[in-house]
Amino acid sequence: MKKFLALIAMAVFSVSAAAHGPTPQKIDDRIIIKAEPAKAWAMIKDYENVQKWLPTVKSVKVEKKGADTFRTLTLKNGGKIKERIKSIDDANMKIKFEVLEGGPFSNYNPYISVKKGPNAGESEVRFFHRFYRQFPNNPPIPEGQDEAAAIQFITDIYLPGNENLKKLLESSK
Amino acid sequence: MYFAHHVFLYVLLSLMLSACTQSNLAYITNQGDNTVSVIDTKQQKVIETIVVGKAPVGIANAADLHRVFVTNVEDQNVTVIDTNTNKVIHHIPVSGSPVGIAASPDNQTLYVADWYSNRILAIDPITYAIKQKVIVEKAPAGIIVSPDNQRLYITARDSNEIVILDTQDLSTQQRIAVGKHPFGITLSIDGSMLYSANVYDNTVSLINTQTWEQTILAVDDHPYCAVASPDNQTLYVTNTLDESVSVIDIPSKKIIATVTVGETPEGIDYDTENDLVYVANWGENNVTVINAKTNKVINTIPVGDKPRAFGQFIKHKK
Repeated sequence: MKKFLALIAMAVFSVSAAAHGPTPQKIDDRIIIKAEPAKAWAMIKDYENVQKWLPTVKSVKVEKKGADTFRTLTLKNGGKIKERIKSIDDANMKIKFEVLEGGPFSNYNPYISVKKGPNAGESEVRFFHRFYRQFPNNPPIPEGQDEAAAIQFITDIYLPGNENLKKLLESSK
Repeated sequence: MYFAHHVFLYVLLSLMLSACTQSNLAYITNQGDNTVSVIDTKQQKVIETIVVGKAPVGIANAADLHRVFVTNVEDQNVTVIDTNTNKVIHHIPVSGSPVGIAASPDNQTLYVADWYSNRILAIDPITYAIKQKVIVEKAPAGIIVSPDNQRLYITARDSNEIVILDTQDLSTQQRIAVGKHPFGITLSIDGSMLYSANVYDNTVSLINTQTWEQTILAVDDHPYCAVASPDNQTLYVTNTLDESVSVIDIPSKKIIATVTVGETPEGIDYDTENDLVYVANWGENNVTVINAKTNKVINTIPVGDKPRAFGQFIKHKK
């Protein structure tokens, strides 16, 4: 089913990818989890161990350079993604980062936040992605650098996170 | 005859009445679903949704002509909307990547910034003829015309500067270095002050248009657009990656409030009739309404997908 949906998404997006222009893209991925927000946030803010809940990640390496914190994800598919942690806001349960390199995107600024869910003891986790395609200029766009490629990459690498987070948090007592 | 006379009077009266009671209208471009949401700012609700071209971003209005103009970046054209009927009356082909757009205050010229081709186009808003094209600095984004129609101010995003053109011949008068990646630009109503949002620096530039004296102020993450209150005492800046609006006291150059709005706020404009600030939230698909006297959010209005509303999107009734 998931594959089928992804195929539909691809078909829809390839139409818009044939067009031109500086159009920011959005994936607003939200999930309700039957776990206290504090519990979900504890797992998410632990940015050095994202492999615990993001199933596409094999290992994480964190480096600090001056005031900046960088994180390199080694993926199970062999790829590497470099990110910069922009801020961790405990009061609002929100972590912001910037994905610098490792995929066909540009100006990619995601965040993850945790809010109270609709019922007591529930959380809403929001993994929000704002990005542009990799190719910065007018068409023709080289193959693999269009909006569809960016959306596919992010869908494959980051979107399994929320589902897995739900599974982990709801199964642990 | 008597009857016909009455009908005529009645029609005339109701036409006059509708013209008088018409509120200010906010035209919100929805880049994700190729529409414009029209908000009546008195009722604070969407009264019309207009289908335009692909990926609409910029908006300009020419109140004397009863027209608004929308740049469709992926269709490479400009949609012309008649604001009396809110119907599309024309599409002006421009080629390239039209993003920023502004009408001259005298409503004689429409200026379009072609982002990727580093061009500015001057278009006749009545005949739709392209009057002139000129190459400027890299990635022209926000544009605005001085109240006296003499100068055209442009943020050149990839050159990190504001370019000032003489509207007579589109020659460059001046270039001013600002912060990194300036995007949105606005003027005080009297034209004495110019403001740019410098995206990568998380700053805004406040520039005196006579002396070119500049103050750079820090705001929050990735500021995009700004608008000044009609008395030029307060500047409102959208911080796209902080879901907030920074409120700056212009005389003291201090941030006096930070208002939480929706996800990824972009376009911002001031409704002078009701003293409200309208903010288009790209990430949330809605518009936040802020009371400019209290800096409190008083309403949230759902609009189309990925609203950007880049430019002066509120049409003030004449």
